[in-house]
Amino acid sequence: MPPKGQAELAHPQAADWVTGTLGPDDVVLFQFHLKGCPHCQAAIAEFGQLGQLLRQLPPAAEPPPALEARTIAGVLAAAAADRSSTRAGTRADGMAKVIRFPRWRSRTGLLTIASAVAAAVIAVLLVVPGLGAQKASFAFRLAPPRGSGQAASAPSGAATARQDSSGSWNITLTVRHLKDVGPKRWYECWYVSRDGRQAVSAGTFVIPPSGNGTFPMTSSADPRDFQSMEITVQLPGNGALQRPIVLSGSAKKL
Amino acid sequence: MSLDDTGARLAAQEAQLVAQVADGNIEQPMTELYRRYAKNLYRFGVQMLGDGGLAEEMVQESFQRLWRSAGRYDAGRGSVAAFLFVIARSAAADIRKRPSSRPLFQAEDYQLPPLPDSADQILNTLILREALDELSPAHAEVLQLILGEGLTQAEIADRLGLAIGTVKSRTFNGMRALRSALGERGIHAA
Repeated sequence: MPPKGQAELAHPQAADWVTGTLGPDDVVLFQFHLKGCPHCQAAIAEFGQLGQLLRQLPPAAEPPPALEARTIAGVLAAAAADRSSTRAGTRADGMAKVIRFPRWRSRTGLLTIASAVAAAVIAVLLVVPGLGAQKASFAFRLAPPRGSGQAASAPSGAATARQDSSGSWNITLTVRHLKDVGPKRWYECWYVSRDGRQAVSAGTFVIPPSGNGTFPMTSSADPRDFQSMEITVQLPGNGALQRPIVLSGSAKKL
Repeated sequence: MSLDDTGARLAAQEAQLVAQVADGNIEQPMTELYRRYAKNLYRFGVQMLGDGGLAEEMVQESFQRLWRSAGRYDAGRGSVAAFLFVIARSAAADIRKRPSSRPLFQAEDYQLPPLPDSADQILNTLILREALDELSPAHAEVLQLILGEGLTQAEIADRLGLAIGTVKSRTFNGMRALRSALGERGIHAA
């Protein structure tokens, strides 16, 4: 490295060079100057690597304060759902052993049929990869809020949410007759709790000119924790659910 | 206590927080981890996805994935920060791939930046942003005009009514202060 202090005598454009602000025309001239200037060479040797790092800086954005509560609530809700589905599985197994088996034992014909059905189900699960991994499924029929009209051209939609083996939920949302909201706004699909106090985004989408579309989305939010789905028009902002609600509907188990 | 000792103690403390999450004690340790990392994760999300709403989604998704994979965290293989940013990078990549995420900006209006190659690279830039926040006002002002507005030394001199030599000195001294702050955090930029 050149002796310390030489960088202080460098041309100001050496600072522009290392921070990446030197214009394209000046770059050519500066490169010519650099060959014969030990002070500018010293500045670049001292600050070149740091300048490169500075040019990759992330923006100085701050997360909205409400994000903490939403994030922690989302994790706790997912953990609670995980625990309750584990408990439900255990209870169902217990019931099958304690209550049903004695009745089947007294009815050999039924037991034979049940065994055949169980074998067939297992065979299908083995033959169709991934089918056995599906854990739960819910459907939502989406309609405009009351009082906003029910004409034939009124917006409508439907969604299914299916849990995969990793615990994530694969959502397929189909909508009809939604308005084009322009390039700077978008539609967002939300899970909303029964009391309306908790909302978690399931994904965003932009509607094509036809107003119709089907959108696959993946979310870790569990529909059992939220009960209903809402579609809103969102503007850039703090990421919170914005009004008006275009479509909404309740979860129904499939 | 040396900086290395402090770093090791912090790493052990964070590994303990993840272990508590894996054991099912979620709320308190997850809140602590959120408070330590949410700002940097969010900035990373904005950088990767070009939108505050999607960055929020990425933060939420990252902590959900952290909860699900807490049992697989091995302190011997890396820090909690690196583990979390690998998760965040994967969440950001999934959100970018999702068809519904892409049309938020027209391609000609906004170009998404490339994904960094490694969690270390991500961490370095995020730590650099933190170090920038600690500079003296005079140094921070000049560097902010360079990094935030892309101004040249001559343009800054004009804007602030300073001699161009003063702007150059503040730029270089600010960068030296930054390098020193980074060194304290274990990042050595020559």
